[in-house]
Amino acid sequence: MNSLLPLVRNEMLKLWKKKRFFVIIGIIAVLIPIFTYAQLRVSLDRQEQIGTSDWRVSLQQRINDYANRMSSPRVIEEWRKWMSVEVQRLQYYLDHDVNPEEPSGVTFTREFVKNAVGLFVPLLVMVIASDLVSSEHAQGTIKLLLTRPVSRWKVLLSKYLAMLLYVSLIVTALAALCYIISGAVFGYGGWHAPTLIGFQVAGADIDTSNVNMIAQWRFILMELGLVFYTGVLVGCIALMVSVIVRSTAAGMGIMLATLIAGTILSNMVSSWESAKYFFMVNMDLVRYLSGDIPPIEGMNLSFSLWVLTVWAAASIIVSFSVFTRRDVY
Amino acid sequence: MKTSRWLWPLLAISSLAACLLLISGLIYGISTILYPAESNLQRVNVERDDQLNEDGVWTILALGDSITKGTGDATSKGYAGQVRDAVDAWDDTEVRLINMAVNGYTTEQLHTQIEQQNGVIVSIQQADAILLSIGVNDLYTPGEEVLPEDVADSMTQALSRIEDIVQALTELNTDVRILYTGLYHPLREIDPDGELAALLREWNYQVMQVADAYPQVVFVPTYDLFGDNGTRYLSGDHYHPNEEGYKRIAARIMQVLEEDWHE
Repeated sequence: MNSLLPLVRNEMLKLWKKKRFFVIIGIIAVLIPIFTYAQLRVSLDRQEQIGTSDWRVSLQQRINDYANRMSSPRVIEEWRKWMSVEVQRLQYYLDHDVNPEEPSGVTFTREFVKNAVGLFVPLLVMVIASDLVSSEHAQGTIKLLLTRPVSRWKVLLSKYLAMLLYVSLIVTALAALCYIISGAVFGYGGWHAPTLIGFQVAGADIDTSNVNMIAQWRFILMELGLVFYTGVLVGCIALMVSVIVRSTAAGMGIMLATLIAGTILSNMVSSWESAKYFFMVNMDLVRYLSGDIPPIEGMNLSFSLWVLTVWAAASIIVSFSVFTRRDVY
Repeated sequence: MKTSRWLWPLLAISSLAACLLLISGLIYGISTILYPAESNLQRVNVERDDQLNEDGVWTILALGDSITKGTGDATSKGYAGQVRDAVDAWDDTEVRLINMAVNGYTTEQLHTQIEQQNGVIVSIQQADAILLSIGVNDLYTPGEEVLPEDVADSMTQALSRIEDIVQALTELNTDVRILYTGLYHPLREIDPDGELAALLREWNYQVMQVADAYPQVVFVPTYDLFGDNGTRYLSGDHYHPNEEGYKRIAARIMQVLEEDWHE
């Protein structure tokens, strides 16, 4: 422990000096205003189209819109299922007089984080984690690091801890910036707006026997926790790649390809059942909170958590065994 | 490498705090999802609110089946959209159309919709005019064989529901104008003996009687609009009207609304 703390400190400060965290903050600070504006346009457009500001009427119209599209015989089965679940979920909100999209900075944050878990957060984590080891090789500093009187596994462990701490910073900063920026447009309230959780998807139907109402801040807290777990998993995989592949560019390429393949897969794997063992298909844990339909039927939170944990554990084992045995020259 | 003295403590404390917060959120989230509490939520019924109609906007609400939805119209406006545009052209009053019609709806589904969908209940109270078409899906399914005996059977039930629907609508909004679009006969070619024609005429006659019992309800006939060369006004499916057909229905409705408007 005595030797580990300075190592973690060293890693944290090194990452800080590399200005990677500023890059991430910059990316977030540029993207969120764009999405805030887009969201504003969408809600103004919708209001204009329907000609009413009463959310109950516009939500009801959206529901009936889905119902109409479902009635067409040309709709793909997957879509029909998705719309059927969506119709039942939204109608449940309406039946209980809860606005699922009460416009506020908190609601925007909730929705943004939910959509960010699949690709955006993993990419940000990758910016930090994918060259943690390989850059030491590239710059030749790996020798300096390994000639210190500490065991190799401690060096690697300190990198893992630094990654873990930075992932927490990224997720928190994402939510905070999202709230601050979008709040300027949508208002800073909404912490106590009612939110429904506990929808269980069963095929094309939804089970509402466990649906409960919670304050929105609780939803966001849980949501961020789940996003954090996904972020740490991505960090572990990226670190493993960075241990195995000595070139930073190649490591980043591998991670990018994997993540993007994952989003494509999630949209098309529904008929390929064994694809559910890929970690990329399981990254969106937030859907189990909001009650969205999972990419493959039968997936649930415990399954996804198991898959993610097994992948993370395997990547940790691989990187430790490679890192402690590899010849450095 | 010069590092300011406070950077490390600041970084360590903030990241550690963030980490603990997120871990507690994770545990909270997992336990909430895995061990959900029994739901104790009750359906909330919208309260009747007479203010809803007083918003200064002339609201047209469209309810019913695919005819009101506008299926078959290339511009997807349907007769409801045409009516909206025509009323909008009259004067400066702001007009809005809320279309809640769903393809394939039957009288039973419409009745449930009016009783249960909160968004529909709100818009009924907002409405100044309700455009309604319903019943044809109770009688027969297009594309399937039509058996006159079956049609006659389902008619009685459907007619009593029409009455329930009108009753429910007028209870929610006493001064709303309700315009019921009558049925026309798109299948004349496959009905040479006129068996179905007789039933459709009977239906229209019965609904007209219901309409007469309520001063707000007007029956708008369309049977003659799609006569022997009616296919000209039907869309590619030989069942729903096309853009021109919907224009003809809209013209009829406008005649009723114009009369109201000038009163």
